[in-house]
Amino acid sequence: MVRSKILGLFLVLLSFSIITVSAFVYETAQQTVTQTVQEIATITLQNSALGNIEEGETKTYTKTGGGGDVELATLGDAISLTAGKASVYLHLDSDLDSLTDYSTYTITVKFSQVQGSTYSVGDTACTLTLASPDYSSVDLDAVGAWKFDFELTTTASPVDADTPTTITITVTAESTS
Amino acid sequence: MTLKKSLLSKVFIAVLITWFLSLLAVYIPISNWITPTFPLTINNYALTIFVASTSIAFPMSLYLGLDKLRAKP
Repeated sequence: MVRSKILGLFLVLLSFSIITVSAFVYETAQQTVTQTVQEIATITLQNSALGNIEEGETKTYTKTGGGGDVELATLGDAISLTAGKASVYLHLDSDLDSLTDYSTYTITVKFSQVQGSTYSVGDTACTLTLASPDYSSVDLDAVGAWKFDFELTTTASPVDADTPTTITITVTAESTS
Repeated sequence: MTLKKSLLSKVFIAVLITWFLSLLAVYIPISNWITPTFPLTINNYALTIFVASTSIAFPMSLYLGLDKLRAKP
């Protein structure tokens, strides 16, 4: 008898869970489908991941390293997106302008996967700098999977002490129609 | 358990499984679990099955639950 009551209570709670979860998913799906602008990714770059850098020294970090560059595998495929139609535009907004510990901090965004596009792998999609921390917009001109690598070039300014810094890059996609 | 209740329980389990699978079909594309697609399109069949299974699973679960709670020893 107790088992029957517990099962009954479970089924009643399950029914309300079903309707609540369904309402949330349905509403989220409707909102997402009708959006013409959507946040794709929020990427954070911490200087602790870049290792040591001396005052005035300039270092370049790439996903494969080589040629004097520092290897940093996490810079590979930093942005991934499947374009459901041609003419999707990517916007990158960063807070690079708030950095004070670097005299140079350049983030070069390069295509690492393109399908049927006029771009080639390795082409530069855009560059974010201290003076120009945002970019609008990278035109994804073909339907399919797109991936982007980051390359960093930094020059450390003289500072009193090591201070942790974090760069945040927000990637949004826009569809015009 | 009567034959009718046994059949109802089996139908409910089938509807619940359908609901769960259609929930995944609708939710996974809008979640962050996979590479995002933009603009997003959701399969109309999956959405229809999801809505239909929800509208069957909810009252069935409530009915079966209340039936169990009301059952006399």
